[in-house]
Amino acid sequence: MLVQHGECTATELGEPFASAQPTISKHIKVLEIAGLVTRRVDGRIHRFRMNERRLVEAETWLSRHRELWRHALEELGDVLDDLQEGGRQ
Amino acid sequence: MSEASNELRFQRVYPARRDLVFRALTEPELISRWFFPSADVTMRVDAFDLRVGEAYRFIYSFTDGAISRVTGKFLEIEPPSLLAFTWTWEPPDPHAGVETIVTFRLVDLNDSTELTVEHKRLPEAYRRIFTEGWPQTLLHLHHALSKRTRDDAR
Repeated sequence: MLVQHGECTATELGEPFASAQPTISKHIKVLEIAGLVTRRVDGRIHRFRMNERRLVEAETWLSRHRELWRHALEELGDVLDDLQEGGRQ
Repeated sequence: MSEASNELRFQRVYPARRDLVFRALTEPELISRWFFPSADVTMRVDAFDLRVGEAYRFIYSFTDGAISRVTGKFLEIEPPSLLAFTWTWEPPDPHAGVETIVTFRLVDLNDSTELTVEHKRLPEAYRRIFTEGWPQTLLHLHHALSKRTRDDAR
C-alpha cells in the first residue's frame, strides 16, 4: 500500500476507505475544484497529486479559527459573569 | 442547516443583558480579556477606533515569543445589535492578506442574550470545501494524499 510515489489513482486512494468508488471520485473532484489536488490524465488512467501548500493552508485556517472562536467565546462568558457580579455589588 | 456552509458560525447564549454583551465586544479593555485563542496567549488591543470605516488592530503574543497581528476595519456598528468588521492577519502570519469578515449579531432571549458569530468570505478554496460538505471524509482524504506526497518528497 505504501507506494513510494506521490501520485495515485482513484482506486488506490479509495483503498483505505469504506466508501464506494463513485463516492471517492466525488470527493476527489471536490478536492480538485478546491485546488487541493491536481489531476494528470495518463491514457485512461487519471492520476492525482496533492497540492500540499493549499492543503496545509485550508486545514490550518479552519482549525485555527475554529479553536480561536471556541476559546474566545467561552472566555467572553467568564468576562460577562465578572461584569455582572461587579454590577451587583 | 449544518455549519458546513461557506462560513464558520457559532451561537452562544449568555445570561447577560444585550447592552452588556455589546460592551464586551466593543470596549478595548474588555475585549483584551476574552478575544484570544488559548489561555497561554496574551492579547493586546493596539488600535480600536469604533467608527464605520475606521480600524482596529489586535496583537497576539505567544509563549515562545512569536507575535501575530490581526487588523481590519469596521463595516457596520449598530449598538447593541450588530457589529461587523473585516479581519486580516498581517505578514508574516501564514494567513496574511486573506481578507475575511466577522459579524456579531445579538438578540434578546428572555433575560439572556443570544450571540451569533459568523466568520466568512473565506477564500474560494476553503469555501468550496464547506459548501460541498463531507468535511470529515475530505480531511481523511487529505491525509491519505498528503502522506503520499510526503513519501514522494523523500
